[in-house]
Amino acid sequence: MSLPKGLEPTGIILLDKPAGRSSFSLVAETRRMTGARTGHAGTLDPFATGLLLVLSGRATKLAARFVGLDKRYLTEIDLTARTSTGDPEGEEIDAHDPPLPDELAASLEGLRGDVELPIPAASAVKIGGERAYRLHRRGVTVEMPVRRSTVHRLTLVGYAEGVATLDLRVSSGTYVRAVADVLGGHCRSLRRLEVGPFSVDEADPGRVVPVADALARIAAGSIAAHGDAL
Amino acid sequence: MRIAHAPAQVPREPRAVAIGTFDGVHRGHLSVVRSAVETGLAPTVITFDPHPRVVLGNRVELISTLERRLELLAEAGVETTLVAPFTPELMRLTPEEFASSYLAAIGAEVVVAGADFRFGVRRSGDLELLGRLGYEVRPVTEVEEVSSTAIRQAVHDGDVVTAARMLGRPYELDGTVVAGDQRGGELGYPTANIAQDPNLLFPGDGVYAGSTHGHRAAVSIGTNPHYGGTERRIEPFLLDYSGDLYGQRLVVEVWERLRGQSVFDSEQALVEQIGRDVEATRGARRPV
Repeated sequence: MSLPKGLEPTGIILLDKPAGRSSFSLVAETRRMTGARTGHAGTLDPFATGLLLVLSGRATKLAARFVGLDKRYLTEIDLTARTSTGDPEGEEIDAHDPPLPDELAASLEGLRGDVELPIPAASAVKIGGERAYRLHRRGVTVEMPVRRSTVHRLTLVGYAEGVATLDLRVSSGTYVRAVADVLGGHCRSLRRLEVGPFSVDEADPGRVVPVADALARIAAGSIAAHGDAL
Repeated sequence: MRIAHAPAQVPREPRAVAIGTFDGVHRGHLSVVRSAVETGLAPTVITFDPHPRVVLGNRVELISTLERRLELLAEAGVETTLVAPFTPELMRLTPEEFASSYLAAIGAEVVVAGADFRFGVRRSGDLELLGRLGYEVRPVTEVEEVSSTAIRQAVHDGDVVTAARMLGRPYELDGTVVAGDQRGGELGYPTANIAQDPNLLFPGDGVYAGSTHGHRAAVSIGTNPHYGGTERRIEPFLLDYSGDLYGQRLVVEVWERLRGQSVFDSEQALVEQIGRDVEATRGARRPV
């Protein structure tokens, strides 16, 4: 046991996480299948779906290179009620009429660019088969610490029956659930479409992206982004 | 997170194991868990219940219940926690026997622990022994000034702000709402009387600002000296709330201490002070 084992395969695996499973369980499943050391580069809430970057073998040491990347999400936000967690699994609080289209447009405009958003209450994590976050006894605190983020792009894809569908690209560390809460609603669904240059369309549990390729794509994306500013 | 109560319930797979009581799951503990997660092996915790010091007959004041410990470990990214019953048999195991029954049996490859970690009968086992047994050992340096002892001391002193800094989250009371003296309602400020597990830490007397059940709360801790009480009570008054919480579990975040307990010149003076406590609670900030 003196030589480190579990270093192959080394690389990045792109997965499309299904709803209802924790990111940790997908990492555990991948580890059991490959036998390699396995980590992740940014979790998704259990209720969410979409791109999860899984790091395998020597790539587990590179989490820092991936965690700071921008993310792109598609979300349906129910604007008739907020919930204690910002997702469908929380307790409903504050039911109200949804905003008129102009009011919504104005709120969305206020979210573009640099914003300060609260860090929302922890999303439900299952322990021992039960949801740990038992809301009827967890004090939902009335003020959470805020975090600065940037909403690079925000598009209203549709708005019907109080549910707004948004396509947004945000800086790392931005909680879409907090965006929903600020708009007066909660996320009914959340799908991560992109992490940096990687798209959920490329997701393939059988493919291991070599580290050099992954880092090159990140660098290329960064050059392209800065190229606009030159 | 999967919870097991015996090694046989834990599938053997490559694991990074952190061993400890993790009382409070403070920032030092979180640093150990993070180190286990970063190995890329299945991050696993072995913890003990009851707390070893309770079993050894010492007076102990736990910072959190086992249930809360497990919630916090799950949030920190632990995939499996083995809650080992701390029995006389376990206490008698030699370090080699413990390593064989609890570590090898579940597939541990890496052990993460504080540098002065000791285990086994007469605390004869340490990280060096584990290294000689073939485990990859990762000592984690302590987070500066953070320890369960320091947290207990701060909470006794009413310094819940320092406690929160060490925990990485607000300090919490955790118990069930039981019948009280019913006096609060008569004064205009009905309180929920909270009974905690007797092994749990009890903060120093005083009036504190905090929150629970989605509401800010002014929390009185003490014997109600104005009324000559003898039992120490925990009595949160929930702002803007009018329901009945009798019989429910309540976790109360304690944010800051507003003042000490006093005897007042009149009941009217007490009621006026409570009014000021409630306003102070409205303006209080959640630490961390």
